[in-house]
Amino acid sequence: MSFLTAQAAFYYLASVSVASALLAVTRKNPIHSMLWVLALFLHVAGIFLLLRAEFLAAVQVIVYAGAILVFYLFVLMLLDLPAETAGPRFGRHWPLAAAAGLGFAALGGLAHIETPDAAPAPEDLGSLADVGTKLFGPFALPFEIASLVLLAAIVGAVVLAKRRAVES
Amino acid sequence: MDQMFVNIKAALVGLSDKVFPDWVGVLVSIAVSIVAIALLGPLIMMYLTLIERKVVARMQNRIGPNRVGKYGLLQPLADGVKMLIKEDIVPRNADKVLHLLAPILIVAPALLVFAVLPFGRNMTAVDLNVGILFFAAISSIGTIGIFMAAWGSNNKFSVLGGMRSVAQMISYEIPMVMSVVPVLLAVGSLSTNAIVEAQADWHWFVFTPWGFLGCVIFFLCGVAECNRSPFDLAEAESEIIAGFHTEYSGMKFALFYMAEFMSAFTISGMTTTLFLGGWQGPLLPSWLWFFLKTYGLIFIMLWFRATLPRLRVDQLMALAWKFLLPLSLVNIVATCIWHFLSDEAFFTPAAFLVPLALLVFSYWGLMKLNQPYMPEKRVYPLVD
Repeated sequence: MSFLTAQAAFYYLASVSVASALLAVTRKNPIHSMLWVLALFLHVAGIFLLLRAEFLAAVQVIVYAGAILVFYLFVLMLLDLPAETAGPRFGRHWPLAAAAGLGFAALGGLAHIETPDAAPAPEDLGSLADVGTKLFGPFALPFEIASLVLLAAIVGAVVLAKRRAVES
Repeated sequence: MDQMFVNIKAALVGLSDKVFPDWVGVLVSIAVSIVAIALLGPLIMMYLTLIERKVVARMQNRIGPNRVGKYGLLQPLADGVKMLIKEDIVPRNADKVLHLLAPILIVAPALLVFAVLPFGRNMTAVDLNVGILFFAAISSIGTIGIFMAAWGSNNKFSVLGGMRSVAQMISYEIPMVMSVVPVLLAVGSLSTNAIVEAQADWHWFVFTPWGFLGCVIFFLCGVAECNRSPFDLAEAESEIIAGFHTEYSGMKFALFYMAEFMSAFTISGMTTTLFLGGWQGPLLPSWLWFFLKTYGLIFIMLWFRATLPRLRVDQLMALAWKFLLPLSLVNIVATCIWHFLSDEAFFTPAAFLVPLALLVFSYWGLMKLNQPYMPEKRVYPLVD
């Protein structure tokens, strides 16, 4: 892909990501918010693709768009939607959250200015083999800790389900 | 014969190269693949409807459609025209945008999966190096389309169908992906082409113990993923009218059917690719082998539909979480054992029997553990 098309694709993906993220937090209807989040996830996956990280792009879609968003859907379907839609969209603390978001964006910009231009990435960066050897090599400990956290969540879910079964 | 379609494409690209500059040739090459797939998907869907009606009719001792054209061969066209000229009704309280977008969002992923299916030697439209992950990612998006249809219709039956469908899709996706992992372990690549190439010389994975089990699990989960019977709770017509597509009419309704039939085809095609050797086979051209195997699997799906009653919701969930998921995890272990015992050879007695014993044992154990509670048979002394 030539440099110009890559740039155009990046600006498209980035601007749509930002726009759909904004729309997601401002829509009145939770269902519409969620669908904008879907658009956001798909465009972020597009940015990964642009960086030639096909594995991350696929995982982004499977995990976020496929699994997490569907769980949100499940929760949404159990909500009292009319009441949700009628209520105020933002809590009292929204300026705080917005300030935190802006601060994070500023940090990102600062980091971008401070770091020298990146050297061209090695050919197999972000490929499945690369990710695998990194995860089970240098990053084995954090990876195992993350799996432990997930295991704790699973055990918690089982405990909650069991308790309810006993009560009823 | 084998490379017929590849040669046609090469000829078209060569033709454009003679007249236009190089970059047009690239565009033509891309366009040819896209057009081929965009035509193939709907064409397959149209004739699958006819095949389904014919096969199910024969199984029910009827004849099936035979009025339009010879043997009813033009029936799909007639259906298409009928669907197109029907009135498009949108409920007044529906969420108009979602109601419109949902059928599109369901058809697009179903069609996209065709891009990574290896239809024959050198006949994969896009040879992605993460082909299998692409398949998993794209097929998981279909759920959201179903949910949009269900919620956008603003109808309680639709929402019931949508909830069932979402629960079902999350549950069956996990054993489905887990049952693919053994193949990836054995091949060492995610590309669909590499998977087919690894199964040359009759080394089809279905002939190994883990491959056979993986094939059955993958196919069952696939049938559940595209909401076909006996897993069609999302549109159970005897309970909730038509589930998520209750409020659709005309061509939008037809699009739901199109998505369902195209996913039925891609699931069968993927099973063929992963476990049945893809386009590998003697004598006949490679693409013919692919279609023969795929349609064989589709026939099994139709057979399911004609013979099996629909599952209950609790049975559906229990099958996925308590049976298929543990079994597919054991299958991964069995594959590792096979890999280390077989020493690169496809068949050795030890590498065949040890995983087989493990799988049979865990199958038996899971069956025992999943036995539903049966009250003891009552005895009525005075009656006997």
